[in-house]
Amino acid sequence: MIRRLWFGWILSVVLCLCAAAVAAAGGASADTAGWSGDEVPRYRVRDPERVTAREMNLREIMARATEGERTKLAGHRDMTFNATLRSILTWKKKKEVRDEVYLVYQDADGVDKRVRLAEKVTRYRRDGKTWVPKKDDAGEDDDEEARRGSVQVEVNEEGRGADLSRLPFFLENQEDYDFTLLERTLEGDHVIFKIAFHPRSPWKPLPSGTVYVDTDVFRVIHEEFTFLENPAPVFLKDIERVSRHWTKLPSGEWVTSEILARLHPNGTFGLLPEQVDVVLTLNDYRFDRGYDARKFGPRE
Amino acid sequence: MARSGHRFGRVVMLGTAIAALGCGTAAEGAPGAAPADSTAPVAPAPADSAAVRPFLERLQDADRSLYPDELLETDATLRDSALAALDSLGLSGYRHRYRGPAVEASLTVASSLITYNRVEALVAGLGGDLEARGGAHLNVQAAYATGPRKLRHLERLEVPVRQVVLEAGYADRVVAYGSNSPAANGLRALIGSADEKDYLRRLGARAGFRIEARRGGRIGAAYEAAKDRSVGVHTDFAFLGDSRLMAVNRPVDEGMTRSVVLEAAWGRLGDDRLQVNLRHRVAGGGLGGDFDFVRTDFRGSLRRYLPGNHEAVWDLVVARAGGKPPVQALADAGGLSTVRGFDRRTRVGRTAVAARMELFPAFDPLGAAVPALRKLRIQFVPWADAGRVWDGNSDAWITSAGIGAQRYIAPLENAAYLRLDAAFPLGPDRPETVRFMLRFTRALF
Repeated sequence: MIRRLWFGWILSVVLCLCAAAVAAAGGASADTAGWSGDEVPRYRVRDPERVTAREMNLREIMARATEGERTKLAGHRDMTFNATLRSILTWKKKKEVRDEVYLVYQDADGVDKRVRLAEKVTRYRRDGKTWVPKKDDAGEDDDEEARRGSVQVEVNEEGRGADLSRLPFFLENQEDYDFTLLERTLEGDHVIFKIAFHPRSPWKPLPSGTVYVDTDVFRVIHEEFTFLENPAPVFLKDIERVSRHWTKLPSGEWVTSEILARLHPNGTFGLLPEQVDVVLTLNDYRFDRGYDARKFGPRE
Repeated sequence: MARSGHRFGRVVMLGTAIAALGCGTAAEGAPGAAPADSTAPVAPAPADSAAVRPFLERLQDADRSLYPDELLETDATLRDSALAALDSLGLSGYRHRYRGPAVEASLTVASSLITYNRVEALVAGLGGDLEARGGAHLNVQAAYATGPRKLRHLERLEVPVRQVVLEAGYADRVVAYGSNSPAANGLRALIGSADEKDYLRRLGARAGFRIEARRGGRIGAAYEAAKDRSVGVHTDFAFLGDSRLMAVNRPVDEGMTRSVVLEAAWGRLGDDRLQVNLRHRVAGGGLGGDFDFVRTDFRGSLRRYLPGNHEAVWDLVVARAGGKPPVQALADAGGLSTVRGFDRRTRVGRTAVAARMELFPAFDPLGAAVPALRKLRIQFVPWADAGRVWDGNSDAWITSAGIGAQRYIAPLENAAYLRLDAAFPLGPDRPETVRFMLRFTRALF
């Protein structure tokens, strides 16, 4: 009787040790389906997840980015947003800060209307190393020269089709550029492609640049451009850089938030400024609100 | 179940990352797709931008740091007050309050009339524009031609109605005819006595419509009634060059032409790499006038990259005149716009065809040979032309080949490069001289 008890106890211990050893060796998930507290759980080692690999080439990336950009606002009929343009024009001894405010409407039919609402110009003169507001002949400050009398409604001359599915120029005219995949980085669970491009013809004054593509939705999320060939030698020394910033709205759309640029005009005889810095800030995007004739005037 | 769902999410994310990194799954490496051997359904990756936000902020902050703080401080007060005023007043109220005009007027130069040529000498004047809120636009230009001492004028009204633009115009001016249409011809004539056009005086009116679409697409139709007259040469002045080239302007068949014109165009050579224009004119018959004829013109250009990033451009020009056309409506070949090694209108007939090819190499032979000259940015362009006419003064082909040296000057569609061409005429009827031509050429971007 005692032997049977000992044998049963030893058998139980050995079985438990074996089960523990199997579990430890597997280190994998336990299949506990149907397991009750009175039964010994069954453990099994799962096969690792196998993923077949195929190199995604640059052509595929560009094709997907093109499709991603083309459909970036798919499902939306129209959008309205504010645009604020600030430019700083710097001469040797004077400086001008200009602010302009626009309200913009664009829709899937290609209607593109911009209402120019306000403009403010603030002028400065150089006093040693500092800039001081310029005074007019009457001794009054010449800053805060805000004008709202020139409301303009501009219609994009591109005509129909300049719509919500418009592509960035380097995707629209891919044949004119050579692309190079510079880097793939993992940010969280997103892979970001860093892609450089430059004009195929070294003789054309087209921009070169670097763009970042988020492969989550294959959208362009950041763009930086420069010009190796001066695009307007008569008026410009160079365009130092241009960049476009994107942001994702809480509702999921990727939209342009800022466009920044710095250029150096050909400042012969002091007529043109030596440097121009520009930032266009776009915000307050609203989708599918319809055309508001009260704010934009007649649609046609 | 929850654990199973979590695993599924991880597999999906892993699949997304691997596919995006270029290790695509068997299912074409689709982003967000699960591995091909998985029984899990294919689903898109969770749309979460939180992961890229810090990355984007780093890029954007680095970019912003290159600009002065003053630039980045947007004037929110100006924006908010303007938008609030528009909200409360509406556009019409906003305009009224700030005295925005219902019709805007502006004074400009007579840009369509200003020129210099051998029959008018210098033509200069002023123009005015009236633009209504609805988009209707009236343009009036008047200019004085110093050669014949006459006033030239042009009036043009355009009224947009949805996608259609209605247009009407009346003009008394000297216009060029024939296939030759080099850019900035007036400048070439004034500086180098290189007036490469033939002229007639045209007084007439036009009424029609056009529909413009994306990518240079355009169709239109118009009725035209115009009286053509010959004009004589009034000047041979030029700063440089041989004044004998400016001595003759051939007479035309004078009379009234009443016609209907149909036009269609598509594409831009820069953006679309293909550009076509088609025009068909029916004159006389039931429309009246002194001439009964039809004329069809086709002009197409195509550009393509070749291996090595060299670029080739082909042009094809076809013209056909039927019925009893006046001499100014006949087709022709020869000159800068068709076969460069020959004078303009060397061949004149009822049908004309001209084909051209230009090659734009991607390398810089001058800079390679003499590095100090690399900054000059001179591009060499070999080319070849061929053309002929039927039912005209000769049925023989005329051909020429040559090389141009060009430099980029401005982002202008038809005058982006300044080019010096050396043209070598070929064939049995060729002139003995090599022609050198300084001209502006079109942009290919």
